[in-house]
Amino acid sequence: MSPRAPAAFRMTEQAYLVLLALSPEPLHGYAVIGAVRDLTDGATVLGAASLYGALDRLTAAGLVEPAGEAVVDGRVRRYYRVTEAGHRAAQQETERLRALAARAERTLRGDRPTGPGALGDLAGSPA
Amino acid sequence: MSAGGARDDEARRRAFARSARRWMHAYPRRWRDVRGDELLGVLEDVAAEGAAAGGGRFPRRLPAREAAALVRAGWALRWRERPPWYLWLAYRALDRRLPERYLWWVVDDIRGPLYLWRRLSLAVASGALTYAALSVAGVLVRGFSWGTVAAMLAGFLVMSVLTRGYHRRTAMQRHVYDHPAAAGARPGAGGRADPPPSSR
Repeated sequence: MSPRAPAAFRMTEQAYLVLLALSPEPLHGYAVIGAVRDLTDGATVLGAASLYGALDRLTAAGLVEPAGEAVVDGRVRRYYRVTEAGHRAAQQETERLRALAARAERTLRGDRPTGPGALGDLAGSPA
Repeated sequence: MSAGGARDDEARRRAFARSARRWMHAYPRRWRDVRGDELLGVLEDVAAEGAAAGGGRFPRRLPAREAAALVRAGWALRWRERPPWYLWLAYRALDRRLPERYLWWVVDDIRGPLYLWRRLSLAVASGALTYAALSVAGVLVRGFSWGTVAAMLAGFLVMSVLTRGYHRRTAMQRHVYDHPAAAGARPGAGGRADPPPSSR
């Protein structure tokens, strides 16, 4: 199964958070939920179904891969880890968000965005 | 915890597992076979944490929000993993083999309930449509009659019920066992250890 290029993957916020949670070390499903909650300071609590939806999509795109299992309390726990491609995708998304935040800050400070279509071009100077 | 309390807790956990597994039917059968226990484990962990935090007992049923999320995610997976419509049409109407990456989807399809209905409904629908079109055009057929349509449907139903074993066996033979790429795939026994491959 060849992984898709990360660019073809639709990076949702949940997928991004799961990638971040798995970046430091492989985790099993339930631990990912806790890690995401810590990452977002309690703002985002993934349900099991959402988590597995994100994991399935990430695995299909080659951004995440299974990393072994353990049997705890008679229950199977499968671990997941982020792949090289997944690491790159997380970095790209972080960079995108950082650039977006920087532009947002400038906009909120009152600096008009430069470039075609900026209001300054259209309005013209007062007669 | 008293022995009675532990027993009660055990009964609640079993009831919870039954409820969760019912809702997990939104996922395809093979996904359930391979990942079902894992997902159930996470659901139980989440429920246990919720119970501990709320000071209550372990829930007897899967909470409505989780159930809804399961249904949504399960059907989203089915949608993602299905073959594109033109391949699907060739498979249903012309019995063409699907590419290797849909083998698990094919196995789920053949072994699933209502397989015969899925397989034959296209033929029945096109037959009924043809009949309706011909009758409207006044060609070959003397006017439209619901009785004829009902007879066609009944005939199909009877034949399909009588031959369902045959259809399943031959379909499995053609689409799975005799598939050129099927050397490593064993249907039902979870021979492919990795999760269902994405179709796109």
